[in-house]
Amino acid sequence: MVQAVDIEAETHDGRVPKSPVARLLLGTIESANLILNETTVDVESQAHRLSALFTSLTDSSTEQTDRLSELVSQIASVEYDGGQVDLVALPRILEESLEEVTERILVLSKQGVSLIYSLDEILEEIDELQSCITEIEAINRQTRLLSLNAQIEAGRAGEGGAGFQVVSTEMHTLSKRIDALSEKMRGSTAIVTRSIKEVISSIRTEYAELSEIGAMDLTHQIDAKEHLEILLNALVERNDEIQGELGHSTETARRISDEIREVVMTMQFQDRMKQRTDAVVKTFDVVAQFLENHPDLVSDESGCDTLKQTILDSITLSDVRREFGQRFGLVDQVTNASPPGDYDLDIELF
Amino acid sequence: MEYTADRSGDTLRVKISGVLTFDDHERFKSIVNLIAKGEESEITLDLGQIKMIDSAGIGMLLLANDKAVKESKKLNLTGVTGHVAKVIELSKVDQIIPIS
Repeated sequence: MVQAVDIEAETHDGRVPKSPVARLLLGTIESANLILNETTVDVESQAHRLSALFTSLTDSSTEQTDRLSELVSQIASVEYDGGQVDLVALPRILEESLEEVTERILVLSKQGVSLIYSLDEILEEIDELQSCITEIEAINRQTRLLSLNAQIEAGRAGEGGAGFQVVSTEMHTLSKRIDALSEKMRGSTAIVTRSIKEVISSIRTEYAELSEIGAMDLTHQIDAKEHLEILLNALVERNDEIQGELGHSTETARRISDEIREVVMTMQFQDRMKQRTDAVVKTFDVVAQFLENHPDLVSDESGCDTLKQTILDSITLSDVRREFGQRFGLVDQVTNASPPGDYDLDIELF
Repeated sequence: MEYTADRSGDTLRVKISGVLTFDDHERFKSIVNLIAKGEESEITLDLGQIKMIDSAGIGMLLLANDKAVKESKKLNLTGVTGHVAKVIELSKVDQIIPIS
């Protein structure tokens, strides 16, 4: 708040400069100094506030980008069985399951055909076995005929053929046993043949049923595989698009942050302004001090020279010093020598 | 399924046509017997004229290959296109039997 100041000012020790010009100058300088000081403080406060706001803006922008990245990574995967499953990998997992099912169907088909081929070979062997049985039966019929003939001949031989009668009877008994055995074998082979044919028929029925539900021709699997490949490509493409957009977003956020930093840097003009203002305020202080201490010397030429020199000596900023030096006609002093603690305005401010 | 067999030098070339499904297993067995009993050490199964093949058909091709390997012979497939190519790719038969 700027306070009203009586431009007809008094000196601090109560002494009033005699010269009305000096009194006017003193009041003006004190008022101007007060206003400048308050303005500097105000600008500094607002500049710091703006800097804080821009810094907060940069942080928000970075945070938003991080959240976007997190969101994208969450969209791209799902939690399953205690782990993260990448959605892009999902069609591949399904494809592997499909391949596994197809492989099992193939193994089943191959084993089915292989089993039928083996059973066919067994049937062929059984046919051979049955031919052998037929042959044995034919031989046995002949053997029985021979034994009958032997019995007839033994009967005709009388007592001398009694022993041969016993042998031929035994041969007949043996032939009957062979008949019974071949009959049993024929029965067994018939059972085995029937069982094998039932197995083959059963496999054939199983295949027919599997064919009816389309499990055999693999058309469903081929379609599913093609659909999964299309899905996979679409997901990969979408993922690439999202990653691309995310990249753009990150780039934009980075650019915003850079621009805000640049704005904050640009706002450092306030520091430069403050240094210059402080230099001017100090100059005014020196003048006011001089007027207070030497109120009568301002009308004197040598007094003014002393004041010029005092002012110049109090200024440390080189460009402000140069300006005053030129104004006072003391250029040589300014260019040839710099007061201690002099620094340039182009220094790094932050 | 129909087939013709041509012998040329050390190669037996069997050209199969029509459909190759489970119902053809009896006829296909004569091809397996040709592979087992023939003198040729190289066997080419030409599938170019096959319109449709099912998993049993693929199983029979694998059985034919097993028989060839058992007899120390080399079997390869040719004319693999269209539906047959898709089924062979799906069943990964191309990783077991060479395709020319």
